[in-house]
Amino acid sequence: MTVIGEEGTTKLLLGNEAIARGAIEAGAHLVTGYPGTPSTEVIETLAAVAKETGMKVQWAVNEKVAVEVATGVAWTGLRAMATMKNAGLNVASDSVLSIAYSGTEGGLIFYVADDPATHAGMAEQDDRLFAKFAALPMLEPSDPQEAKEMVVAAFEISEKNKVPVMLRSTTNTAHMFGDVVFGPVKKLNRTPTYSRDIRRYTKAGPAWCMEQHASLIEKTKKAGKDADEFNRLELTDSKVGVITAGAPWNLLKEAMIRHGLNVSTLKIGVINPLPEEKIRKLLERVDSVLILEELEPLIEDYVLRILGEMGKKVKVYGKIDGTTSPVGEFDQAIVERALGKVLGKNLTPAVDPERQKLIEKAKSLSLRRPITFCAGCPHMGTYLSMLRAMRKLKYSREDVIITGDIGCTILGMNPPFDACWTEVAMGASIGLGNGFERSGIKKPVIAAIGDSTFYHAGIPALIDAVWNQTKIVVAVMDNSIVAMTGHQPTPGSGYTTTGEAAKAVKAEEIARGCGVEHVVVVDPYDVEKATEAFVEALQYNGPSVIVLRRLCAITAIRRKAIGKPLVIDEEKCTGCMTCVKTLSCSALVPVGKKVRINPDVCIGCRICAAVCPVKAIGEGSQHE
Amino acid sequence: MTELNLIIAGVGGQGSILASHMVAMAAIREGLRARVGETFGAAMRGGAVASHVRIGKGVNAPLIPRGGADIVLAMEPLEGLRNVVSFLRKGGLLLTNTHEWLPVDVNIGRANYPSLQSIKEAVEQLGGRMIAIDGTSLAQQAGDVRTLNVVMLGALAATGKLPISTETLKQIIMENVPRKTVEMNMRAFELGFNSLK
Repeated sequence: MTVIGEEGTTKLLLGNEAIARGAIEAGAHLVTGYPGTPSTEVIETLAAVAKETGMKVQWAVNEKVAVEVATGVAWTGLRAMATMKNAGLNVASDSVLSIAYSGTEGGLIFYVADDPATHAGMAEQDDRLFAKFAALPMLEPSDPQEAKEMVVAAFEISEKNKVPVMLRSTTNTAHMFGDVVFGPVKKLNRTPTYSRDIRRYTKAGPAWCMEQHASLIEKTKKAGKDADEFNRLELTDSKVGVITAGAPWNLLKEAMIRHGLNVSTLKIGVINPLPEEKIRKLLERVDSVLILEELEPLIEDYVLRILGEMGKKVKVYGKIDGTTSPVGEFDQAIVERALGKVLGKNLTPAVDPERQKLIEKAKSLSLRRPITFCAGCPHMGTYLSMLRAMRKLKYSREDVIITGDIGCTILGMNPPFDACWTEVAMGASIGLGNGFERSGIKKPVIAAIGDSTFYHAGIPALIDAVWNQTKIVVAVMDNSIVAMTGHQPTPGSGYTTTGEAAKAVKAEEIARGCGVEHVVVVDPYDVEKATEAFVEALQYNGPSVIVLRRLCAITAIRRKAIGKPLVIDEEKCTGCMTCVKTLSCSALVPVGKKVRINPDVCIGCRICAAVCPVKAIGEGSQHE
Repeated sequence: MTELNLIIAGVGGQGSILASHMVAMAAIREGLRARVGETFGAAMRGGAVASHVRIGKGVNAPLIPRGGADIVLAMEPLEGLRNVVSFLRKGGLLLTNTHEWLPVDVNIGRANYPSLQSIKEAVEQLGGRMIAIDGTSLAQQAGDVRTLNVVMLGALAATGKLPISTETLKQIIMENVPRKTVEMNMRAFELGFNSLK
């Protein structure tokens, strides 16, 4: 949805779109980041309107670089934001911690989207703890409107206190649609200036470093006070209070409406520093308090500390007493159960065991639907060739370790390929692979990594493989796009985030530049050649890189760069189902005892033609 | 009606997310409060996708409570069933396309796809009702299988359970599908609408 519009317009926006609108209203000069669910839409939204806004909108090679680029801009006095998912903040953390000490001149926001219940994979890390760790102020919205308001405020607060501000959301806020009222757009027209000040911008001496640390603590305290309007305290005459923040606030409000509850509430918008005064005020009023927070007991620990200082006995319900779990996200039932426990009321309907049985029975019919490769996905050709090469060299499935990586390439872990053994973090397929080889285990290692993942964090591990003379096969599955997160360009795509032509960075040139001597580029649609490439690489005594280059099928469809659908010759088809069982391509549809190709889905990649034992698959014209 | 909780479910690539946005936009156009939540991770084709549309004054959270959905609108029967199990309330409606999108385990012979009859029985045992239409064929008839989501929205409008007018919904669809496909999508909407008569 476009985020361009007059002041006063109301639009249905995603949380992330509202954050994008906030950056526009605040007059940000640059927004950068690395794609990662559920954070991606901020930059996607801004890129779509960059020509109208004049904002610089750029995907970075990884989150650390994004944070550094945004900071460079902000240190010249302009406003900038870097966006990332939870795991991305880990990558960026080295720079974030150091930048925190130096502070900023122009408004600077680091936006991180967490993912309780791990909808998009990766650890359920609670990045509220990161703000405490980095001593940076952090805000967290509960809905799109508040998200937009917080971005605008965070830029002001950051600038006023000369400290970067973190903005945190979770999936249920970042991926929630709600109505947002547009505010005015600031036109800043600032001239960038930057002067040398090593006392502030380097960490060269311990005295300077500690001075910066002390100053950071002060700045963050002040920033917290400036953002206090986002901490909303509503006291009633009830002896029960609830403290919450972020997504659970919506569930609490709903439960209060549904059950007509009259508890005192504190809705915290400033996660760091936590609003001590308002927490005290609430605690003075109540005998028991429920802390509704997903993942870690961050607020709860703080409340216990304050209670210790106050010397007041208040019963605290939260993670520590097991009222809620540190695992997963909250829903209405969890919140109502917790409220019921504090209030001594039964707010949740009793579970009918008969109905539960029927639900279980119906559940058994609901087959799982693991995500598979799209029809025409080049990665099918890669995994097919990899497995064929293993067979040719008389290796069984158990004989070769295939380390997987982040992104669509990891779908090779699912049936029908069942190929990948591990998934750790961006680029980790190569580093882990190096480790397996160095353990002395008698199994060859193949690292399966996507192109964007390779640029992001795979290159240092490849250099490590060369330097430490590791026999590893690195398959760079180059579909020239960040596919899993919705088809963002990569450094190898040949164009920028906003569509201008750019020099394409080539994986094979990087590999050779790193000192890899055996480097091959093949088309994964050409199964025969790709198989041969894996056979050679597996026999090569040293690090080898195979770049399997073919545009992502979905991107190819969008660019109308696809082949004609193939056809199965019904007379030749023996119904052996080899094609279906080997590839499980969604274009291959079993009909009765034979297989047909769905022409709406097939893009003519011909990988199935290479699989068919009776050569029944080909172009339509040959068979008509 | 004080609140409507609607789930639009399907397989990635079937347009269920856009359909949910259009329902919510229509609600906002009519001055109602709406929220939409999404339960999927990867923007991939072929994965299970469900969008939660919530319309009403007391609505705050993006996701529907378990056992709290009034309607599950499904682009694919198995995805309909999946969401019925977790979310459909007693007396709720599953409105589903009959066309199956086979999961990989079925394709490779590790599992059997449940029959439409067994899905219907399961829905009814849970106190729900099922209406099934061959939306895929209707979409093809409209001119493109990709109009399936609009066919299903047409059928949804015909149930009379939406707190928004059919005219507003049609207007929003016209504003949100590619300009060249407006006529085809209106045809799809009518085919879906009439299939329930």
